[in-house]
Amino acid sequence: MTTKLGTKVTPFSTRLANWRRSLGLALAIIGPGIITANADNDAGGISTYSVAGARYGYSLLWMLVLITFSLAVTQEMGARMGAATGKGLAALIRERYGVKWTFFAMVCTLVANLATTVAEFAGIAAAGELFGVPRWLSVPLAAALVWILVVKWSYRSVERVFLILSAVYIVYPLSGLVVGAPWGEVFRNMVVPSFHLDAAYIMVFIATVGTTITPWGQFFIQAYVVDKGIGPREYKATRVDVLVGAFVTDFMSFFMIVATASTLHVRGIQITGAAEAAIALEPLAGSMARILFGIGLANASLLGASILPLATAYTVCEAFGWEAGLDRSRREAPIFHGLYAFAVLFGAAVALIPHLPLVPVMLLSQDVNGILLAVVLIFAIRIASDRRVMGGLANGRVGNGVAWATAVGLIVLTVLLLGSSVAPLFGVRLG
Amino acid sequence: MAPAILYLSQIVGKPVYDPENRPLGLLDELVVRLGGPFPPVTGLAVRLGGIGKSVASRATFLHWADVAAVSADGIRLSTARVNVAPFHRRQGEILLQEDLLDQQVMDTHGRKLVRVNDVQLVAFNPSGSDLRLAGIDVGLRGLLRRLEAERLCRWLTSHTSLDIPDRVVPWEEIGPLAVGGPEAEGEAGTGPGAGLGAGPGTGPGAGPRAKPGGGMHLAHEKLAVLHPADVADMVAQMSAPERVAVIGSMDAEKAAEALGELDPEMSADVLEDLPTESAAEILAELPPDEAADALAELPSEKADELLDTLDAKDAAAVRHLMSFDEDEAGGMMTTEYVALPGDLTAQQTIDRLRRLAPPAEEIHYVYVVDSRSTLIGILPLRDLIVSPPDTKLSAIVAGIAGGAGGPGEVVHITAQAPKDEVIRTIDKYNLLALPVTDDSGRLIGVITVDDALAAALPPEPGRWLRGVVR
Repeated sequence: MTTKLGTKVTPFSTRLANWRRSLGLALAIIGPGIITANADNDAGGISTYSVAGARYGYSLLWMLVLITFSLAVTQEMGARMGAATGKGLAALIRERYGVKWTFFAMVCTLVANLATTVAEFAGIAAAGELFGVPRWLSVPLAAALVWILVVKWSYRSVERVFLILSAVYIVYPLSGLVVGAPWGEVFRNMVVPSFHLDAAYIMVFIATVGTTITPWGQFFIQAYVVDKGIGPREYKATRVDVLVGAFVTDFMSFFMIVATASTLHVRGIQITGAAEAAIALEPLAGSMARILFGIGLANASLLGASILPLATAYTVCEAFGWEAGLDRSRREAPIFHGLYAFAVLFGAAVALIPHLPLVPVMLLSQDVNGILLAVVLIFAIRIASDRRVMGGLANGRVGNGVAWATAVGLIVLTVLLLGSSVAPLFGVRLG
Repeated sequence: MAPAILYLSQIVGKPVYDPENRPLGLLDELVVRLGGPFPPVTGLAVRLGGIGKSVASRATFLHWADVAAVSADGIRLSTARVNVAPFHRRQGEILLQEDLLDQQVMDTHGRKLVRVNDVQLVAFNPSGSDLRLAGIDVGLRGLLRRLEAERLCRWLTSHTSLDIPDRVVPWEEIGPLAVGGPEAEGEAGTGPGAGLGAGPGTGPGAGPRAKPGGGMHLAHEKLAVLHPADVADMVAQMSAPERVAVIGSMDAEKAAEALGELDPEMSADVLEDLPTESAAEILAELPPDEAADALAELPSEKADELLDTLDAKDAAAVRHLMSFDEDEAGGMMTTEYVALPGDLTAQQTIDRLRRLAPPAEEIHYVYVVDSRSTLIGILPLRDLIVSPPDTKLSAIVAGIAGGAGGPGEVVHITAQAPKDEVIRTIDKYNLLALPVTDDSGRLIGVITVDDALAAALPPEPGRWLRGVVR
């Protein structure tokens, strides 16, 4: 086919390509911040916020407001570290603190990530059981699906499908509005802090922090920025994306708590399984609540189960300088592939334990995240404040203050949790 | 006696003794003067009496000439006189702990980036005072040694069938290092309060960038013999400052070859961060199409600044190429090709080619044009060589199917044709290069098959999630 001279007709293929380009552009605007933040509302997130709302009503909302600022600050810090250094957090820890500290940081990250992976598969099991699918069927299927999607398909496509499906979260704000939450009380609880020195309460408290700000999220946002080739010059737009992402995520989290508080807490219903958590959507969806909740939970769990094993394998390999990448063969990158397979299999295997209480497991995994988050945050803050590493993009005072307050707050909470769990054993009553 | 092997992790932190065997302090750092396959250790830093934690300010640097003996138990000096003058890193020196340990370096033999788990030193004399840098430990064993699990290693290897070998990359296989870090550049920021508060609005170069010119040590010329595609592969995985340092350390021609293999966005970033003179030198070596691809990604002032360094003819060619969309034929073509008038004879043409000596990839075809540059034929080199010496080019191309004819009849594509059509046309006619014409049929460039292939492949995957994120 020889192109005729002077023909000006645009072929259909060109128009199609143009159309696809503008769609691609629209999806490209959904940057690292929004994606990471969205993946934050995973199985652990949904169950933790639901339990928080059902058990303690609106009383944890003040903390969610504070945590939103922490999330914005820590995610911004991670993105800025990626833009300033062009390196992942694991590499920076290794280069600044050497092998021993890196080993410590990686053990913490590995434990937290494996716990979260377990939560994702527990989420799949719970969602399956809503539809009457036994976990011995749903969990292995999900593990196979995740593996096939990520390894055989491209992660980018997987991510987009899940992102589109995550629009299902919109049912939470709608449900909150339909049920007619007592807004006066909601707003009061957003600004007036309250706290109890009681182990069960502190556990939910830490889990809520740990599911909102996660160790893996800290590594992920930075890697994403590095991977996209965002440097100091392009950073401005990313910063907006990251900050918007933090507020959008917590907007959803906020309504998850409000919706469960105004449906379950007021009626004194405790969440023991996904079925109770689904009640939160009844004012809006009626008998469809179970189905909507099941889809939302399954989608969130599958997205999490796709990201976490990968993120874990990449992070550990980056720290120790092992070959990593899905484009590397098993022989070229044995440890990477081994870690990836181990994370998927471990998560699925634990979720398969018969009669494993799924909701408590998901909650507990977020506690593990919350406790270990302090370790990762301290490394991140110290590196991000180091002008030798960060140059002109080093942490400012305000950001540093918020990030340190989060890390120290988590340590204090962990001590309180230990104290309040141990004290009753010795007949001491706190609070 | 065979040279004794010592690892950096085995001697750092060990005591440093004076000639009377009284401990002076602890070994903190070794300085190596680069050059040759076994660069010598030329200095050491001692933390005197273990005072203070702040190593950088408390450590005292000593000349290696004052060292009498080295072993895994510590270092003995030959003098008790300690000069406490502050240390200044000189050109060509690296600090093993700070610059090398735990950093990422290029293994030019394995053609990949590796992380430094430990540094292998070799003592060339029995006392150990002639200590030299021999290699980089990148294996699991080095990692375990750093975790002080050496004994576990030995136990495992002797009691089980497990083998945990040392994996050491000889120093001569290690590529250039970016040394010195961003300290100096960091001061260019907005001072305390930058970061979240002030944001990144500190202008270009606010972030840490490798110091232009300085801070770079070329260990040896290993990089020059690697294939540019392999260099580009490694360079693409580095952080931006390292990338700039490594590219900046290469000679312009090699740097241009490697840059040509990077994706245009990345090569644009490198060109932007390099000092203008080095960027200009590299740009002059880049083929016009690759130069245009990279410059199109830069802000227009920066692109203009760089274009002005080229000679007027090259700059005009690059500007012309930049005017096309990257997804159309004009954006994929190069302006380097051989076009000759049809009334030349085969012999004259061969003589002309010998004189022009164009690079190999541009010589598969001679394009036959008329006085107005209108494409009238494509002459494959084979047909030129096998023709009788006095045949006119116009006569040779007349006998080639699809290779000759009036305007518009020769296989070609217009500059506005979309990428997909370019790929299909090259595939259909089995071409090594496809001529591109403007609306009036004048030859303005050619698209080589390798560029079409690159355009046909899915986008280059990213680093961390490789093909995952981008």
